Amino acid sequence: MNFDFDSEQNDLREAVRGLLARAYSDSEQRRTVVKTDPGFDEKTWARLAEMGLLGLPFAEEDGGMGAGPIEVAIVAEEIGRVLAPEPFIEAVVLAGGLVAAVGTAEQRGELIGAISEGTTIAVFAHAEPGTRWTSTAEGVTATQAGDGWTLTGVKEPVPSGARADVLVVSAAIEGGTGLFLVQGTPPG
Amino acid sequence: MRLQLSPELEAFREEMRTFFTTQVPQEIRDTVAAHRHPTKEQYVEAQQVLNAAGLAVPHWPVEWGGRDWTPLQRHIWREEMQLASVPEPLAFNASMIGPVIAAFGNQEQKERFLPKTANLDIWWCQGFSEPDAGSDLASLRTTAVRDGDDWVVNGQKTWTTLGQHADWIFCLVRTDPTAEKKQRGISMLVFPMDTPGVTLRPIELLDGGFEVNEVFFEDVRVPAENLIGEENRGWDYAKFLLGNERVGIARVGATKRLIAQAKEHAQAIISGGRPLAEDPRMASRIAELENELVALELTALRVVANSADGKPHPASSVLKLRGSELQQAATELVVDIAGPLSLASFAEDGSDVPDWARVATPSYLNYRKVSIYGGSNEVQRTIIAGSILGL
Repeated sequence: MNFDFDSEQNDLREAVRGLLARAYSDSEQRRTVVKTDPGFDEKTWARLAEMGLLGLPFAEEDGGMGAGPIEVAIVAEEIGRVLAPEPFIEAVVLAGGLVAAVGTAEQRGELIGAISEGTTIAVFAHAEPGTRWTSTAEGVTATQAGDGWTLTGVKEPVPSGARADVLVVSAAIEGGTGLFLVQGTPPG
Repeated sequence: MRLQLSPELEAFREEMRTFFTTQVPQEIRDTVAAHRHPTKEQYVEAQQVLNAAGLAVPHWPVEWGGRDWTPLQRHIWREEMQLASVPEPLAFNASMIGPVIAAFGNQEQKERFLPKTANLDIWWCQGFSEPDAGSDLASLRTTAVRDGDDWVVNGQKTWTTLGQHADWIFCLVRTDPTAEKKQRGISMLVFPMDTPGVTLRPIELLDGGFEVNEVFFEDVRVPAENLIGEENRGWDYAKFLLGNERVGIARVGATKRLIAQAKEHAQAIISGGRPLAEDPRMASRIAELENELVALELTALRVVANSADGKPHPASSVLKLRGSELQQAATELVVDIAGPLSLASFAEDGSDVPDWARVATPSYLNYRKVSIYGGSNEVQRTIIAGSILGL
């Protein structure tokens, strides 16, 4: 078994480290960014997108880079190394990952490319007050209404939720938990 | 080994418990119980309620408000205070400068400062640490130069806790830069924080709070009468004071309260369709922590029952070490119980996430300090190796 990184993976690490070192060279800079809405730096986010990092785990036919969990982990490690506040895990790994894994071809086509390009920020709204690391939803329920569904309940906390263009919301449906795409801040 | 309190001490415990839970305003105790920072007014009110009943400075000389209690009584007093979520008498006043002035100050200084210090009419802050002098305190560089009837102070202190509330500062300054040992050239001066030339700058902490400050001195003129004790003996007073800082630092009562709260939270959080408290791994983690806390409490009782002349027992280093580790383990436990809810740290009013989960992460981060202050845990390990294990 070989646990060494290959040269491409090492190059990836160097590139991400270099980009983030410029963005967060000292903790004051980081504090200023975190204190100002949306709590991360849109320019840094755009640079991560340019480098292809926001599409890293997604299939190439959906508009991603077709990389694997090792590459994703390398990026996450470098983000953690400087405590960069960009919502890589929230938007790419969780929300994007769910759309890629269970979304319809249409949903994937609409969202994966946009997430990878950094033009759409999607986040996963799953935690509910009173629960902890559950795999199901209870506090938010979904009922069918005409052509669509109506979601009722509270999701909190939703990291980066205030900035999100699209929410992937988990909600209780008959016989289990469903995932729903909700655009921005619709009425209700 | 007898682990039961005598009937007299049981009665004493009951008396303390009744006082703390009925005489200190509920709103102040609720603030402490919710791990929110009390306001200056709340600190002052609580200490004045205690002082009026003779419960603010029981460890001081009787002449200045002390109670001549046994170490065990003092232990019970402190434990009950923590269990009742009463803010403890301000350490800078009650445990630090008060005992120093009582032991080394002149009569005029005692009369001038001690009653107001016990009653928190003067709020003191501690001017010890500097940017290049923390655990190696004797390297401090703030100077005081004699000029006529005054000392002129120049330099900088840092990590000055609650300095923003302080009326006065007690300050270690270098008065003899030529002394052969760096410890020998240090003196202790006290002066008001609004003396011209004193500037205070708050430091924002990891938990988002403002608890500590930097304090700058530029040609601050301090009357010679504000020197405590003898010139160039400040290091002895500092050691005396830091010995007191370690007393009661195990904070068993406070950790007990934290774990009791954690158990309630674990009942309220539903995980996998049942209360988290019923999860075997969580239950055993809580039980293990409680066992370790009982062991610490027994050690603390052994130490207080066997310490004489108010001298710090060498085992107090064990109490500091384990006490801080368990405080940190308890705050970590609360964060883990909150799980993803603890991410809502800075949520505003109107959040559905319960208050305790919102303060869980800030409290956890704030408690990083307990393994650093009062002599860092590395320093305590060195003391244990040397004076207990004889290594």
